[in-house]
Amino acid sequence: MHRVISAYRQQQKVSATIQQNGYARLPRWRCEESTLAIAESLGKIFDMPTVSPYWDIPVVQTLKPGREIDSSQNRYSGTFGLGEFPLHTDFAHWLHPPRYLMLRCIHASSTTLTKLLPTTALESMLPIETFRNALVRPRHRASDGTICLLPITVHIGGIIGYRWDPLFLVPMNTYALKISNAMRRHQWDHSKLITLTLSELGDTLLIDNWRILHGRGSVSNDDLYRVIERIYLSEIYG
Amino acid sequence: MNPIVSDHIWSAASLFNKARLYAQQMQNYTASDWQIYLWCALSLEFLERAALAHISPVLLANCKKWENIAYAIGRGKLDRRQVPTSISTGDVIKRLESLVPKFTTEHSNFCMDLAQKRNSELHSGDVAFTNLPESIWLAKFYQTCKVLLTSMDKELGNFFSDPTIAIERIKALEEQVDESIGQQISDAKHRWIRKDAQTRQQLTIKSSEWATRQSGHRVKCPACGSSALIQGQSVGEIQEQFVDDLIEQRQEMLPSSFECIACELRISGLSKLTACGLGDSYTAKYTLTAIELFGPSIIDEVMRDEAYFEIDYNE
Repeated sequence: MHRVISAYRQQQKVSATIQQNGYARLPRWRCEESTLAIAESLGKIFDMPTVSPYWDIPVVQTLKPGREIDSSQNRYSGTFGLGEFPLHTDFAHWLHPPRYLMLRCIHASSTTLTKLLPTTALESMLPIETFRNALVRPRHRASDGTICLLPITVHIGGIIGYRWDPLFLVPMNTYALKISNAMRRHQWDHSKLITLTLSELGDTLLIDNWRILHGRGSVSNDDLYRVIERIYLSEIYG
Repeated sequence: MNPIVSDHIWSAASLFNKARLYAQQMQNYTASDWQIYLWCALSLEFLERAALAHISPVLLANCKKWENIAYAIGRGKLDRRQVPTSISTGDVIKRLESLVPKFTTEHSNFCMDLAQKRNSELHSGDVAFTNLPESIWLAKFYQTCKVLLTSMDKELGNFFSDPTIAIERIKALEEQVDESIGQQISDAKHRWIRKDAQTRQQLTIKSSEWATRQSGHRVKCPACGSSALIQGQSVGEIQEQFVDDLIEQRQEMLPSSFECIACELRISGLSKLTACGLGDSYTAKYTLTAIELFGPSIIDEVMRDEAYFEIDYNE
């Protein structure tokens, strides 16, 4: 009974933290449990194999650093290799990007940073109208051969969020170009950009994909063994 | 296609975004540049389709092939050889006129005119977008956009990067309409006053009889006060109810034209009618017998079916 109450309180705390900050960092969290089991207890799993049957994306994905030459072009590693990944929204090129993502440290690395930027910080970079008017498109056509425009702002079920990806999205108007240029040049100070590491087994990071942009820092040769598991959620209970 | 992964090319959102993209191109030109009108025309066509798709994307499907309907509901697969076809812009406009209450004949005519100009511009040697009366033309464009956006629960600010110009142009057009209709009524009043008292009385009686005999909505003429008629276009569904064995049909109507035979004042267009206080919608009421509504065969059907409504009774 005590364990159930404790798990419930933990759940409530995670939900409240993510609502308030847009992310929740849970150090050495439930190390003995699997990524899938933890995610299932936190919320509703975003069923990748059903949503994207063509691409064979598993529910739990294993992320390992890869050199440019060893990775395909549809992955960040194929373009950025071991270098820094730009701040982005996961699956920004989808009509409805998954709402939450959970990263969990399987094989630790102490120097590879994970960067988080709340989308509220974007509004200090450019006027909000620029984001409202910006239109982008996915860089590739959908499986049916079509390609539709996407707004930068994501309005789903009364929730307003942002999408951004400098690689998978192509700016289609001057507003989107402005954002693209500003994002490339802007130096985020530490009051806005949050940096942290997943440096121990079980370190878990839950991110609101619509409210927080994220990116990986560069990977040194010593950290090539870094292994992170990722899972998407469409809802957090609480 | 998965609705989470990618949008449908006939969805209200994808069409709306494309209309926005084209509308933003207008910002690169001034009202005296012909290019602004071409972008207006293209943008408006997508907005019209978006407004129809907002009701249902099925309304965009060309019904000659069922595959188009399946595609519209997201069930059909699009392979390289099969391209789904949607209805023509003319049909889009006609459907909007029937389905969007505030999209009046005036808007429909404007959209048709614009579509024709777009065709001339893109498919002939005609330089169709030159020498247009910019103030009226652009204002009508913005006004039509506003009506379509409202039907999609959106505002001008959701569509135009800076809606100020659109708002000002619409306001100016409304003021212009107010002024022109004021002048028209004033002219009719003068014509009326110049007639002698006996003629005025005869005309008043004549117009009263005429307005009673003719179908339409009876109102008082704003110029001479005689009975006059408003004709309108139906809006929404017919409401039916039984009253004393008769079927009463009620249909909401939006005024489209006004005529007074006494002072010969004629006004057409909802915007002008609204400007002089004649723009309120009204309800047309028709009372029909069952035979009138369903035809003579209804009697046989009722007689045949009546047995089913009698209680079984072992007498």
